[in-house]
Amino acid sequence: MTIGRVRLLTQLRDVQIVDRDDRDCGIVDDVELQGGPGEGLRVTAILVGPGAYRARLPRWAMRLVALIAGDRMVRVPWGEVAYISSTVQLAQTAQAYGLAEAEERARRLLPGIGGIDAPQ
Amino acid sequence: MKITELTLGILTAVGGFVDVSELVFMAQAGSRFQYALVWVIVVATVGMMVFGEMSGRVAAIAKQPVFNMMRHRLGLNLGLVTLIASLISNTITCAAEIGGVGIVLHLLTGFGLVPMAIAATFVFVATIWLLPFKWIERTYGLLGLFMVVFAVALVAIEPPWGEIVKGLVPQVPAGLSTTELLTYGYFAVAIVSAVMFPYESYFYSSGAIEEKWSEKDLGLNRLTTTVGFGLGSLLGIAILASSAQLFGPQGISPELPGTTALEAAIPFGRVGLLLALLGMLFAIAGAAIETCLSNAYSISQFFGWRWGRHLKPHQAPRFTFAWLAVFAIALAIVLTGIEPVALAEYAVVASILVLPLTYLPILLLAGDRSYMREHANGRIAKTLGWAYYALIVVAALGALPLYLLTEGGKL
Amino acid sequence: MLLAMLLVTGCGQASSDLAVIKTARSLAAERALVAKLDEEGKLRRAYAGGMQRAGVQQLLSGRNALSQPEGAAGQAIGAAAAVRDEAGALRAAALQLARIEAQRENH
Repeated sequence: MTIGRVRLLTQLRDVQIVDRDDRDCGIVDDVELQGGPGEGLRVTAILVGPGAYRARLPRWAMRLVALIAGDRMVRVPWGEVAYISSTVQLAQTAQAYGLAEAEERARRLLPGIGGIDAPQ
Repeated sequence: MKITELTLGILTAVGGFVDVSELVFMAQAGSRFQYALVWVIVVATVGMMVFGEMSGRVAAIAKQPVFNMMRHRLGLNLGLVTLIASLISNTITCAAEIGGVGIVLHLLTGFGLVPMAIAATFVFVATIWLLPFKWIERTYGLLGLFMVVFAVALVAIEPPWGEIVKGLVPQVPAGLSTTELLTYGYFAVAIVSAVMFPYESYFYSSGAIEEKWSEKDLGLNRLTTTVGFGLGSLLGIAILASSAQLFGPQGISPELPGTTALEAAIPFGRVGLLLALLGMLFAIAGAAIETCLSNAYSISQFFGWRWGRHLKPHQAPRFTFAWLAVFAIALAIVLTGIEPVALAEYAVVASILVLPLTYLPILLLAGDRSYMREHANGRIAKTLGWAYYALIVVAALGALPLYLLTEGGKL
Repeated sequence: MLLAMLLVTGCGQASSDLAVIKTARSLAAERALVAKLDEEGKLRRAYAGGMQRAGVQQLLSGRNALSQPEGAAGQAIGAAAAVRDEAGALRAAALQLARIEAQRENH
């Protein structure tokens, strides 16, 4: 976990997520809080995927988003957040949280060839 | 900083500065208003330097490309509006560039425009699929240096240099009718838009991430954006000035993209024409690739997908599908038969409308010490940044009315 | 956004006709310049042929966009499109269009 306080809106929501191997695996699309009126609130999970912000968009916009990026949502427990800086880093790989499924489905449609490495 | 790396970076920026919109608008601006819009090119170029440098700096220090910042800074709703608007404007621009490449290949070879546009698109796909990022950028940028023939041609026709220098002074020509005044205003806005196209910032910033820029690359960033863009703008000024000298007196306001190549044919004959067409080909082709990739970067960064040509295509599959889809849609637009010049005009208007939303997050993040530490905007960058931002907002507000009132500068 | 722009540019027929005539005048002048440079041997065959064909095509499209394609302006544009690739004749066609343009602007 990070040291110090985290501002949920400016430092967490809409921030890039990377996994243990530094691979991009989504954006913090929303934050799950637990607690009720008169009680303390705690962050229990980050929510990843366009399904997480369905309530924040007009219906037409959500349809457009679903067309491009789907409408799935994945819940990542707050305990799995390892570090927060300009990105949110998770403790495990994207596959462990189910964050790599869409990429895997897309990958199966592409040939595994191509891409010359530039000389270092 | 390696000298070779710096030189190649600057030359790439020079060769990649001009695209089909600049070719069209610079030539028309020169023939309509002689040298009175030279100062607008300079002002717009300085704006591009300011925001280009900020984009590169943010990428190097905060390790954030533009569209990650966009959503984070503007929020989901405004970020989504910006994404949709920039996808539309960049796709129209990509279509204009593909159409432009088709026309130039047609003029070079005699083969039909449609087969040439299709063939070119396949070459672009192969380029992006096979080559690493640096080679993609360098190949077209360096081959675009054939465009230097336009600068040499200007010298050869012995223009009135004093008049060109006078054009550097901000001015509105005297004695214009109301319609001419509005048309002058339209061309000023169009030049600002064509020079400061949002796709250039997206591509430059994402490219810096692709090349893993860090603090040690800040000098390279500063020199590439100032010297590279500055020298590139000289090509734009050369096109405008040659048009003023050669086309204006003959009542030509270039309507055909190929007409601009005559600026080199008149002094140098067939060799000049060939060099001009080759320069236009690679410059416009580079722009087609940049606009396509910038859309793929935007979508991927907005949704947090894996992205970049530092990965093999199957390692970033959704990013790969994104850029393939952009080429397919852009080619489909070309195949509807809309003239590439018309597409370039639509692209310029659409892009200036998006510019304020594009540059605001860059400006805010480049000044944010929590991300940029000691590399946050200093007083000069802050002043210039906000001054240019105000200019962009004014231009964006005036763009559509001026386009409609002047029929796209035709009146 | 594109559709809105396309729809709105269909309005204002008088100024649209003037825009078409100005464009046609320029196209005729471009054709004349290409023909002149081709006669001087300064151009490649593919380029000269491609430019002339594109010029003719755009002149004809412009004529069809006029409010009265069979009027004086339409006939002048049609004539500019029909002229063979000869510099003198094309310059004359461009001049005729410039005269029509001046009449419309002073109207």
